[in-house]
Amino acid sequence: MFIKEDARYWKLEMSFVLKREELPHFSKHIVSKGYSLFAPVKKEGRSAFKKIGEDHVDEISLDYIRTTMPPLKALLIPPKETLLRIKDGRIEEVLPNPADKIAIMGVHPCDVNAMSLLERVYTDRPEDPYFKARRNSLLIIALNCKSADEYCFCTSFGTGPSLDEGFDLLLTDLDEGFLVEVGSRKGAELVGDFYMPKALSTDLMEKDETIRRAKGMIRKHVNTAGIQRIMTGALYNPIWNELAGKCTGCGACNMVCPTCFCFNVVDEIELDSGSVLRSRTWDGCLLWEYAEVALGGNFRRDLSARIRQFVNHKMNYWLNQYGALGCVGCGRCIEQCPARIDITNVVARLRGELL
Amino acid sequence: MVLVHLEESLLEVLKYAELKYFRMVSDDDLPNEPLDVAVVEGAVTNEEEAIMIKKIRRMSKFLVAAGACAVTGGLNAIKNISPEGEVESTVYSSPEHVRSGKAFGLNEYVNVDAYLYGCPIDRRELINTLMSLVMRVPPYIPGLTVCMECKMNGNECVFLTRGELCLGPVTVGGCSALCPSNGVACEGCRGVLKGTNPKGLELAWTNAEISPDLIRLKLRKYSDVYQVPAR
Repeated sequence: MFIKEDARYWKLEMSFVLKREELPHFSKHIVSKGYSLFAPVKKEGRSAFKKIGEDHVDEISLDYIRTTMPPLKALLIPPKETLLRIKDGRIEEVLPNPADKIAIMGVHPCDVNAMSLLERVYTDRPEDPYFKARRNSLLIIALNCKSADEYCFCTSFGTGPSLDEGFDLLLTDLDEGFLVEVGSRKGAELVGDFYMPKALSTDLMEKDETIRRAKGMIRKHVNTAGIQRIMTGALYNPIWNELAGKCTGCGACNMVCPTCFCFNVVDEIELDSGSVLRSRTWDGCLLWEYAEVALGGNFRRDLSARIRQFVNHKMNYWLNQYGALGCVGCGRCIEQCPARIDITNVVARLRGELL
Repeated sequence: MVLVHLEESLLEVLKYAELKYFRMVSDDDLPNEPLDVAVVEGAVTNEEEAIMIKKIRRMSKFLVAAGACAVTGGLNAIKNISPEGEVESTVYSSPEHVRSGKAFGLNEYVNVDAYLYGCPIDRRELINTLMSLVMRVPPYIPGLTVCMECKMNGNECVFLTRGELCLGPVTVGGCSALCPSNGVACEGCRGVLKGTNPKGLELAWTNAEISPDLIRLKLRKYSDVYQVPAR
């Protein structure tokens, strides 16, 4: 009991309230500290993360549910990035500059948790120097969710709508402004010389209430109890063929998934006496070419096998590979599927919970 | 013609290759000697062209089909579903001078070693293909969809947000999703990507209550998507 009270005391000591009208000033403060700041802005009725210049801090809008592009994946593993330049027999690695400080503001818990999963993949041996360099220079200002829509299902994986760790600063949208909680030394430094009043215990109560409300809005669910056994048992279920009739095979799910980490390495030959740029581009298991090997062999010739791979990787194989399920319930693959395939629906049907 | 528009880059390519025949630029006849590489544009629509492409195939070590017409038959292939001569008589005042039957891509008649997709073809892909051949490595164009490149560009889906009939989900990428990135739905000029499912797209459109006639027109603009995929 004493310890719990103590923790609450410290939580209050490291919690502040940022008035709504102070958000642009705080954003400017971040930029003035030498960070490239990324934050959500409204674009054609949707929200998207954008680099925010000092003069555009007013455009930041933290009132959003989901961006199409997973923001942290896009920052840490850009959709297309140059890895090497080969010229006159010399190989030059094009690594990100470790001095480039990046701050991202307003990332929801599902996306922060997805990044923790990407971290497991990219810092597993062999470590990816490109990812690692960017991760080390990244400051995360997360944002607890105050609402959810019909695609959200983070509660199934404990990856939202609130966050307990993995952030430098954590915002919660309250009535009078944002509750700011500190999660790291870097975060503490950032609020250290920007005046904000300390939070009151009523602010923490309001935070709990906000999160409770957001939780109440989540309608979709994946029952993860014994999911590995169920998924493995369903590898030859006719559902995969049925889905292959609907799926367009476009790979949009792969692109918008915040934990899909595959890339294709491509060499492009430049005109100047044959120098070569080696780059990597996001890749996806829904593609024919993905499982193609020399002489045209292919391990997943049927679209059904590729859909099965996508769903099983998230809901089954990840657990053995990296010790966690590979889905955070962000809802992007459902929202962006032109064929309206719903992964929660697929799992529920395999569990016999739905017809 | 993209080759001509390469301008200075073309001169760079010509450091490594000798141009033997280029009908769009010079009237010289097709030489009667072996070629390392033949880059052929256009669909095959009559017997003479079929004979010509077979001759070029025999002469060349490496054959590149360049552009939508050479890859799938292109826009010309719209007429393949109408009775012969019908389209010509609607378009031309004296159709009797037109010697053109069904339009097909080169691979209908000969083996093709590499493809340059799209209408027009992508400049970077052309350079990369030519330089790959100079360096004697097989040209490679990644087998991803326009839809994926569109997502990578951070666009919102024109189908899901505005209901536009976009062929991006089943179309060979490599154009950096040029059309949807400029707010216009993909017309599928680069042809259907192997492994994608046009039937799924048709179903998605049908479920969005698009009329079957409109769906058919869209799926047939750059050759019938239900034909053999472009790659």
